[in-house]
Amino acid sequence: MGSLFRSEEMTLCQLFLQSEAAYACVSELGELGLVQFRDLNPDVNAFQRKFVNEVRRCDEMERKLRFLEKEIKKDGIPMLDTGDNPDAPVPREMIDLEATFEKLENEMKEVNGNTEALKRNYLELTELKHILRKTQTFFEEAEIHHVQAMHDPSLTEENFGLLGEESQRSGQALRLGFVAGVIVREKIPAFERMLWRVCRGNVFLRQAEIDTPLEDPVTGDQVNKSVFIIFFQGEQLKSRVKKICEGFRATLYPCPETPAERREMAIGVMTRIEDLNTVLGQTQDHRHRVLVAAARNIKIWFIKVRKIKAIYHTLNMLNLDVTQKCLIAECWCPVQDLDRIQQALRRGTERSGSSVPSILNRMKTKEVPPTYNRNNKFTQGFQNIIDAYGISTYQEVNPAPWAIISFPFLFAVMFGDFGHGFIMFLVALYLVTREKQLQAMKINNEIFDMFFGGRYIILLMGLFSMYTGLIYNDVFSKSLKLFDSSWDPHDPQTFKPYVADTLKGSTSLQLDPNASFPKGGPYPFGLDPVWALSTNKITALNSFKMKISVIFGICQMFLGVMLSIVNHRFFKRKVNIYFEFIPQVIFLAAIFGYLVVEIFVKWIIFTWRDAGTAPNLLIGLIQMFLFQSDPKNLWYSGQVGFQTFLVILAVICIPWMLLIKPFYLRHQQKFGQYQYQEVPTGNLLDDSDGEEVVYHSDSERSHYDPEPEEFNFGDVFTHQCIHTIEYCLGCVSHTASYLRLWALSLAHAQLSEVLWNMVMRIALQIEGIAGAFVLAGVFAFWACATVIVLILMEGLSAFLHTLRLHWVEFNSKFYDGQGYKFHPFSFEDLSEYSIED
Amino acid sequence: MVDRKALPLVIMTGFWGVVGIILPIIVHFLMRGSPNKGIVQLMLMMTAACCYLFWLCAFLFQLNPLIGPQLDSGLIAFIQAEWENNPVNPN
Repeated sequence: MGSLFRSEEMTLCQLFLQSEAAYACVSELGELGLVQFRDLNPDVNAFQRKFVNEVRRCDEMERKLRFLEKEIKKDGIPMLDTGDNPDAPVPREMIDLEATFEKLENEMKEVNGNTEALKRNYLELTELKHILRKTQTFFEEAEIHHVQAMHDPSLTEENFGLLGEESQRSGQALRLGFVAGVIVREKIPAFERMLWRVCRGNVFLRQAEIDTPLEDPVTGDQVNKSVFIIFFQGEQLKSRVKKICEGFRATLYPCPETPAERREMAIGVMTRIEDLNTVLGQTQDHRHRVLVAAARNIKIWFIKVRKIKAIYHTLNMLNLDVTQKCLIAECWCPVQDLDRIQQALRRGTERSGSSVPSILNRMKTKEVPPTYNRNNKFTQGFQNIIDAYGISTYQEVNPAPWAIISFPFLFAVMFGDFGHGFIMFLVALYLVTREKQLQAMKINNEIFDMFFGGRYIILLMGLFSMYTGLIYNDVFSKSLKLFDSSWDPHDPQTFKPYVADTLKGSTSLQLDPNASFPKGGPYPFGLDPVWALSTNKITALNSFKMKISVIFGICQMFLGVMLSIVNHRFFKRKVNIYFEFIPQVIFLAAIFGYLVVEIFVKWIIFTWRDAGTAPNLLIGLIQMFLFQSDPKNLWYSGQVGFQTFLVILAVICIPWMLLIKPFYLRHQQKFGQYQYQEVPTGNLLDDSDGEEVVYHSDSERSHYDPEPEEFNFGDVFTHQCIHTIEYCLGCVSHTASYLRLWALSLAHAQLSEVLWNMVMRIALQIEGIAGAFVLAGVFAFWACATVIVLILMEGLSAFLHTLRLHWVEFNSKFYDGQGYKFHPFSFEDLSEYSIED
Repeated sequence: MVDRKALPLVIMTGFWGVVGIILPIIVHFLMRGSPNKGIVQLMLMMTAACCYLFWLCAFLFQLNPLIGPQLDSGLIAFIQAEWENNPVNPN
């Protein structure tokens, strides 16, 4: 049966694949995504496996692809993502791909290297250009100073480091040397200081900033540099200056002394710069073209490479049967899909051109199969929240379909506001209607993923919250008056409407149902709007909400117990039905079922006339347990006797649950009828030879070891003891735990009311034009607080509590949750085969 | 005077009865081959059960109220003047 109510029937299969066809068959199975391969070589080292070379080649290919991707991203070229899903390429194609990637990588490396060299050249030439330009000014200044000095001998100190024209040179006794270079601007002060100290002030430094920042060829950063020129005398100072320049990583350039030579050099430099620019441009163009061509295909290549890797990983798990020249695989697959798997195998064999067909052979086994629930996009969200607690045991009842409605509904009981529910519904509607676009965007934000994954849950939560909001009559903390109210204030003394004198007499009056509640009947849909205006609203509604919590809680627990009998019948555990299920039901019904019935009866029978004598149900329940009775609390004849009977019935159930099953099982075992009951194996069919498992490795026992154990009475008895205590105490404590439905609904209603009263109401009372502007601003604040606090925070809180109610209170009645998940080999999620993580 | 006891009861029971009992039967025939048939039926039945029970509790709670709302006097005057309620039997 392929439905969601219990997990699918699985079978262990053996596949016999011809060596040539193995690759194609595994590829087809990967596209299908319905088999989970078992590792038949768990003891083998990863480096000793058969296809380790191919895996290594795939890793190499992926590394090259990643290098290309980085280059593409650096240039900002968009990568085309057509959403295509190419088939896994055949092994021949893999060689072609490898060659393509190798070629691309080499080309890119070459281009990058060339670019770097060119840029370095360019940098040198640019710096030289700047030097030539700036030193021109230095020498001109030197001219002026020198001329001045010639006419003013007292200023000779300054003029020492200066060069002159050729004419001056012949008149100068001292020949000064100079070096010119470029240094990073930030280092200039330190450079100057070092020069001053080392050369004892006998060198002269002039520097000028280069206006435009220059590009560093290696890192690509923009650096500010300055030109400097140092004048010195003598060889010693020259070597010292050169060493200091080296230390500060300043680049020195040969600068000609005469202006004519400098001008020539400048022109030469300019032409060379032009040429270099052209070459650089062409290199960049070439690189861009190569990258654009690669960007078109890179996503597809990634998928192809990952698929190849996945196939080889899987092939590594298979066993080679040397004598028969075929590979043997063991896998779990759903019984329902055996036909599709056979077809996939046939397709694979045809594609590879092999003549020998692949064989699929079902095997008998005592191992527990994985749990496979066939979900669609709607039910997957609910299945996830159930699986988060524990994966269902193989073929037990799946709580997920029940949670589809019960989860949003219990959330809505706690959240109960029409306005907030409506906003929640709209948000979820947006996520659902735009799901294809949002999925295509591949947003990697974890929080968004959580909300997007639960979009159907949020949709239903919003819908049900709107319904419960209407019943609670709560729209952003205001009430709706869809019908006429059932309360018409009348004076109980006169049975006529209140007169002004009576009203002036007191600040507030409590309406008497006798006088003010018309005999017509209650408000037809939900709570009466008059309660929203009353000051004792909380006291009155507490009774209502608490009773609702208890009623729904006991209903859900009862449903849980009923699901356990479905399990017992499926696994043919008659013992459990008679000795666990029946006493469980009686216990629950006798005490808590009786309480629910009392609640309903009290609502129906007692009217305002009995307001003084109506029984208190809670005290009644406590007294029932203590076998006491307060005559004022009794309300039907024979109540004491009936209640005593119920309590004794419930108490009898305890030893019934506790003692009978262990002793019965021991009795069975003594007479040789004992069967180990705990492992469900409902799928032992064989439609073929029924070969036993030949290549099964015994060391892989990660899951249940199904060998029949000896009957250990102590174990069984202890287990039963725990189970009984858990159930009985659980009934009581879980019923009380359901009161959180009341608590959260009260908190939500109060928060929303306080927000309105303290924020909007104040703004609405301001008069005049100013009031309009203030109201607009205050509304913005109120809206933000509503969304952030009331919807997001309260929503998350209610979600968590509902989750707890399902996981603990509901699941403990029937759920085992010891299974392991079916993880088929599929190409849908290839991220586990990438080398990134 | 519109009957406020029987009429809402009949209407709501009828409505959720259709949703919870009749619709699943219709779905049984409409969605014969679909794998989601069971889920749809279960959803309809549980929705009907939960929503009907919730409405019923609210209805029964207010059927025979033991206490009434406590209102400010000014509010009582306002209600008497503005709200047009069910006419009360002049007892």
